Amino acid sequence: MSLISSDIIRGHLDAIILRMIYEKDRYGYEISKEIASRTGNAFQIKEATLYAVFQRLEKKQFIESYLGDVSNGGRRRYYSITASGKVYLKQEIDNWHEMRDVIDIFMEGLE
Amino acid sequence: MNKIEAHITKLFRDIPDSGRKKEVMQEIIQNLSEKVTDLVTQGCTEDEAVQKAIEDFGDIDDIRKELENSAQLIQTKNLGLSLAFSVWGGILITALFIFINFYYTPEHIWFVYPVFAVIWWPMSILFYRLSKVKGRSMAFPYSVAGFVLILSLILFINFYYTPSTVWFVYPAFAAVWWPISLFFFQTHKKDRKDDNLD
Repeated sequence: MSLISSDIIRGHLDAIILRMIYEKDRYGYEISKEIASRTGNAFQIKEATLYAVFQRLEKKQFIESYLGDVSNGGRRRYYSITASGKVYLKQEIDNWHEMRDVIDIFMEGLE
Repeated sequence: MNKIEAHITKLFRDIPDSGRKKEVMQEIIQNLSEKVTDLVTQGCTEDEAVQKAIEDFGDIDDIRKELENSAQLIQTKNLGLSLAFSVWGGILITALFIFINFYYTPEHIWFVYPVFAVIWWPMSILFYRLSKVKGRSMAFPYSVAGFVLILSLILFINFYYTPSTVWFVYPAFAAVWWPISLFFFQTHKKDRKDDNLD
């Protein structure tokens, strides 16, 4: 699988990170590893981008953070999704389905 | 300080200090240290692992923007509290002066002078807060509000003490240059900015 341009995926990063945290409480490095693993390394999120997304989502109160277990001399900061984060994620998924259907009209069916 | 810490400290040096900034830096250093450990486990040397972690980290601009936005939100919230305090403080001081005026010297209205001075307190905070919220200068609207305030005082003095002589236009003429000057200064500034963009 070829590397995906970050420009294409940038608009959906908030939803992608929310989805990861929706599954279970996670910390930053865990999320970046999981994204790379699930996409077969086709998409690797830059750490700088990931922490900017955390800041944005926390400010919108879609996620909350807490300090967890100690690793490599420091405590991991875990993120959990809030009720409003779940609502936002649902909306984003619905929006994505609608958009995908529209784009499919033009992108599918050609050899 | 190890290389990861040194790198992150260097990247964040231009961002204003705050508790949030410190937390984010600690979080990133911890996560990158964990990544270095993983890379070493996978066969990289320590130096190679650190170098890769630093190279993969990416551009800090997005984090900077988010942290600055957070700082701005906190400042706006604090200014909101200052505004509420100044409004209630202004109301209480005004009420006190009105009481003193009409209780001790009801034949002579003088409370408008201290009230005129007090009104500048919440008004200044209001326009400062608006400039922060809107992200643009509120100097012109502030000057208009200031002119209206000054004009009200002049009108009061004119028609309370010397109603038979209309003289308020002279100080009003002087005061009106304040908003007019600011209007043309800001228009000129905007035109220069547009020219530079072209």
